[in-house]
Amino acid sequence: MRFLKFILLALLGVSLLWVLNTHNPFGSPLPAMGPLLNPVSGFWANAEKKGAFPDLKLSLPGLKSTVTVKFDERRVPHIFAQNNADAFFAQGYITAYNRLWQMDMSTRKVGGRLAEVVGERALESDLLQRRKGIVKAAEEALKVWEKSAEDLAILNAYVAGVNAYISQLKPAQYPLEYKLLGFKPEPWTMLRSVLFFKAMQEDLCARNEDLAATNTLKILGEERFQDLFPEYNPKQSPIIPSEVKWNFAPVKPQIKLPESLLSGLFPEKNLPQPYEGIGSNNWAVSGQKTLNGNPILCNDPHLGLTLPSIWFEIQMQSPEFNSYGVSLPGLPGVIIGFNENIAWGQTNVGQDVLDWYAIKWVDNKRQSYHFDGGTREVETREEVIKVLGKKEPLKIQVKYTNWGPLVFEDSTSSAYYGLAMHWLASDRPDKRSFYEASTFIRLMKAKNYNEYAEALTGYDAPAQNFVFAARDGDIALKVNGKFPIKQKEQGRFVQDGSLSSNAWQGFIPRDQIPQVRNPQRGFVASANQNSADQTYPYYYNGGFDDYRGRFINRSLAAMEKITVKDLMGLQNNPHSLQAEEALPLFLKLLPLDQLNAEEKAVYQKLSKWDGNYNYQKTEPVVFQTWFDSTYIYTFDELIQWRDSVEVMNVESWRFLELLEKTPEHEVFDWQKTKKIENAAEVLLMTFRKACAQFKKAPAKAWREVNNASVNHLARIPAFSRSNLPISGYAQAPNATRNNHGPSWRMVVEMAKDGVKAWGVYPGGTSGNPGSPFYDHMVDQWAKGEYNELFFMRNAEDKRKSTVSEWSFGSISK
Amino acid sequence: MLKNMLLILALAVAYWLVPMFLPWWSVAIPAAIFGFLAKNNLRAFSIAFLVLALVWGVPAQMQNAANAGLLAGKMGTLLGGLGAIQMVLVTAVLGGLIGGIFGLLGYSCKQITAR
Repeated sequence: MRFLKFILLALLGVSLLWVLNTHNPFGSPLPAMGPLLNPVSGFWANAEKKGAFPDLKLSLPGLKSTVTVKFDERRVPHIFAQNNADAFFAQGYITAYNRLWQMDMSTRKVGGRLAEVVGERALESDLLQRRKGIVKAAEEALKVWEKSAEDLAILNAYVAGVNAYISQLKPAQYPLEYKLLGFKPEPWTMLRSVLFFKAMQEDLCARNEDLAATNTLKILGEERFQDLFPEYNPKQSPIIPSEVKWNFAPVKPQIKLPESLLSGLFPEKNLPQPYEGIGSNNWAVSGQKTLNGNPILCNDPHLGLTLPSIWFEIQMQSPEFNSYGVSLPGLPGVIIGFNENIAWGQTNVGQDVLDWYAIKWVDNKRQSYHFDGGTREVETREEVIKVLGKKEPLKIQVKYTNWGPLVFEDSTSSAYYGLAMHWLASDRPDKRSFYEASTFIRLMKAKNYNEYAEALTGYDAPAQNFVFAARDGDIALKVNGKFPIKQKEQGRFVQDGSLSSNAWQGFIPRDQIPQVRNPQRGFVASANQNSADQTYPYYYNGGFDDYRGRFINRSLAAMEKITVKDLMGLQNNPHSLQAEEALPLFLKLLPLDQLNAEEKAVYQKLSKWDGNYNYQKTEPVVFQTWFDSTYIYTFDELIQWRDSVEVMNVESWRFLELLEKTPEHEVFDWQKTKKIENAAEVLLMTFRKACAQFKKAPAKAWREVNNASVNHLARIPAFSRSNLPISGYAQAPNATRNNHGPSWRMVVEMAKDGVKAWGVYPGGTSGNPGSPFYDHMVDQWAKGEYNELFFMRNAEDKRKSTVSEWSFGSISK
Repeated sequence: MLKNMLLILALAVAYWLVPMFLPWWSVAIPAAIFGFLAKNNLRAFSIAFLVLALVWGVPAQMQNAANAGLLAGKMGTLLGGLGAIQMVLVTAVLGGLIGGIFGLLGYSCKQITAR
């Protein structure tokens, strides 16, 4: 009996411990509660003491000399090093201290190693990353980067700093998410840093519509296709103003593009695409337009908004540079920022640099394909994917053609084809003396226009519009990156992969890429619109903004005696040029005499609306509902295909142009009725629908509908912020749209007596949800407020106080 | 009496120190040893329970107070709508249960070996 009691108690005790130590016990979503709740190493250890941030003295192997890090009241680190390597080492250490889990997770995602830590639910994403050949591309880029002594030194120092932090970490100090998900940090590598860069490239230059365009062309036929999808918006206000003339002889493609473009319906769902219709703003105004004569530079890159934030604010000083700005956790250096003499910032270039090629197999073994009259064998690379909870890793063979990896292969289809991807960012970089990592370090050091221009020559992709302003008065903007030379419409559709003549024919020489310095109009600006007007001699396609850029150019042109405050106002402006142009058109076409009293009231209300997406107002909701449903009724003949194949969306500027110029266009006909509708009839129908909808349930405020959010990286709602009170929408300068928007707002005044700067991002310095500094700038960001950035002249700069000082001493290994 | 007090104090210290060097579940060891030395089932369970509930609950509450309930509140939401103080209680009770069960186990071991 006593023995039985002992056995039963032992079983009970051991099973209790086992259950508490198991992740997702009995298939539940619960984390392992024992490691999580115990106060020694559980989540309690991550509950940061409010107000405490003690000074620290550390001895770290790998440092050459001593480094001082001062933290200001927002915990922004200001690093003072005695050589460059130590500065990047310290950056790695401090970034890991604040953002280790984020660094780990973001690079696991892009490299297809998520299933290893979260299990089968991430397998699909991992498989796709491997099939796209991302890891191979990163390995190849690293091999080339390593040959540049400049890039290698920076990366090495950064990696050593990250690992100096990881190696002394005790389990109790692991970031909270490791405890929740039940895995451990592993040493950082240079490959991880390159993978992070790949993640940025995927986010910014992997957008393409080849499959959708090919399907749409097939569905509509050539004439209707060209009618609905013109490539250039005549109202466009390009980045490089028309005063810039192209005084060069463009490189002409040597080989003629084959006559026949492929056209067929591809059942493949395209790769998950980066968010559409959102981008970034930057501009610089020259001293001739500002009140006090100083050039002012502004930048607000729009990205997916996450907690921890994509950006990490930092100041770094060495004998060669003193620079302040935001960095990307995983990459060395300041990405967007300034120094005493210059400031720089970026917006994305929408040019399409990812093309698809249809591979025709020789036979159903699918190992060799037709090419230029002969055949070629695929090369294969084995990808090993570990999956949490599975004993054996999954092994797949990824096929590579001369175009690139075979991402899609439909083995169930009787048609013998596959789709190979040629992505510029996967190409092995050309040999040169420095690469992307050094570009930013050179910008940190740059003193003037020439050094800025030189720094940009090391940079390929993702292509960016690099804006520039200098204390000596220069302003400039360079569309910068590597751009393939394309013939008209090349790369717009899926191309025949059996012909080498379909390949890109070289790259546009760097000095022929659109750029402008000190234009007469006194400002330079970009907002993801077309790089240049139609006189530019090279063909390029892609996705370009049609409203923010025009609105910003219009606003800047009209502004005089500009102050920093004026430009902060422009960054936070919730006015949509799209709404400004669409609303009068909509209202003009609406047959007033057919409206009842209630509908007339809605009409009256809308006609008084100014096109500002104010978060407290209901007009933006009513208008957007009307706009969106009119779009859907208009292009129903295309939209009905969405469930079966990828199709293109007619751009909204073309939609409005059709409404304005050809309201009798056949596209306005709603297919469901026998009657042939015109634009006015569709507008009446959708207006009545909207009125009926809002009669039943009154329109909510714009805030509720737009739901501006900053989500935790693992989408844990308790660690996220949602429904933020912020005005704006995709086509407004303040382009907040659900979980996308301005991820960093920066204003820099290149004052003669010392640079002055302001900035804010929707996040916090710390990546720890248990820290008050996890999301301390979110509310400030939503209100449109800025922090004055403390650009320290040296470690002893006492103009503002700092709260803590860490000093790193070197020890021999 | 003094001996009992010392024993309880030793238990508390062991509860705190042992998992600093061993995994979190090593708190079961001092609980079982205490149970082995206890006079009866009730004492073995209740004292092992109470002491670990305190050794887990008190520091949890101290951390929670210093953090102004920020993280415990988020964790409570994550685990299904608990408040910060409730998270402290859950921590204490969970610790207590582990202590209590292993205390009983220790006593039961003594009963076998005492034969």
